[in-house]
Amino acid sequence: MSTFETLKQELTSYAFPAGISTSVLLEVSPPLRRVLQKIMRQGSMTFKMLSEELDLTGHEAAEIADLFVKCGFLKSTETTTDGDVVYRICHTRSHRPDAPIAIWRQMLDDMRDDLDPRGSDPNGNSDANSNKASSSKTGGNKTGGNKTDLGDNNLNDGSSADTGV
Amino acid sequence: MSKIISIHSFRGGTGKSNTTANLSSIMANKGLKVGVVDTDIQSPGIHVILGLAEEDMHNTLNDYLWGKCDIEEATHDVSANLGIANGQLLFVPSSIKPGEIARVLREGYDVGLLNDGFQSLIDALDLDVLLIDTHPGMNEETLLSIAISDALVIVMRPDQQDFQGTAVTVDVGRKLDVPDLLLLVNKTPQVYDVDDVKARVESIYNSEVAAVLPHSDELMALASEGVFVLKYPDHEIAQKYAVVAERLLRD
Repeated sequence: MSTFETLKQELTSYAFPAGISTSVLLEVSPPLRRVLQKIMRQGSMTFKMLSEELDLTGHEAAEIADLFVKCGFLKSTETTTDGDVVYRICHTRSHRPDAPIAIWRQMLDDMRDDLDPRGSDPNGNSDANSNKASSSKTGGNKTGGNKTDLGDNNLNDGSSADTGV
Repeated sequence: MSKIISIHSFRGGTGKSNTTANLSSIMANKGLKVGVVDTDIQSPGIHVILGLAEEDMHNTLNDYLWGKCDIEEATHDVSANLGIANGQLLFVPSSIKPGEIARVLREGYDVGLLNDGFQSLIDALDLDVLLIDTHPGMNEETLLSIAISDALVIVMRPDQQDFQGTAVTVDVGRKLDVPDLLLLVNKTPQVYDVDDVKARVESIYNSEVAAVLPHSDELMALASEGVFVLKYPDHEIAQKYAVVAERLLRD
């Protein structure tokens, strides 16, 4: 299979609507990785350079460039004075794993239970353990009991992070 | 032609930031214009070694990533503080304010902007070398810095946990075709045979070991209050760092 056909087949198997993470470089084929990495290192690449880099005809290069953009690898940002299109890597935003936030939430729940011997029982019954069990079943969203300011602020932060904001 | 060098370790506490500070100081003392970026956004620390106090940080990498300033405006010239007379050491710190660290963790940032920042820094400041101090392990900024680097220095200790983690980093470095991949074995117990450690590590990873640095009480006693090679230029460790710096600058 020609370079054009190989690249076309590979590119159409991907879809990154929000752009690519750098870790994608570890998953793609070596020819694709090489060109993406070169663009990353240089900051940008013109259409002419891209077609030379991939050793493609103008028509083939145009189709591949379109696929790069359509699949979320590249974005065309501007054109040079002589009309050559400039491509840059379309990076996705960095995201941190949710796990640490979940750990924070669990720690804060535990801290709250330790600080408030009455637990979450509105009647003031001391039952911190049942409160913990209930909080873990509901993903940490407690509806009753006293909350410390520290806990509330951090819980809010955690909630927004969990939604991928 | 500027050179981008990433200093990385898979695990924390290997002496990665100390290595970055020492190598950058040696390079600057040779008359070069050297940039250092602290991309360890989650747990920044190299600013302490480079003598930059929190109150003197006018802008940080975080400010740049949030669009509050250009990356050049987050640059701090620490040459005079460190006593570097020949060249220049320009440092971009990460914020050490808990709220700003939390914000990065919560909201993430535009990774493309970080990549653009590295290129802008090199161009705008006409740098000879840019050293990137990374976060331990693998994350987005670490992978990015490895992917764009001309050289990758992997710092490790002669410890079984480090041996496994280093294998991961070496694999990633190879897969990303980093042109120059070097290992630096740090904090080696004095009872170990340095040549034996070097041969063993080179054989395990099939990679060049740039130096095997012994554990040093003087370095520990310095406790990050300054750059070791500038305080003890004649020390065995300073001499070894000088060899590594020379090796990295070689074309």
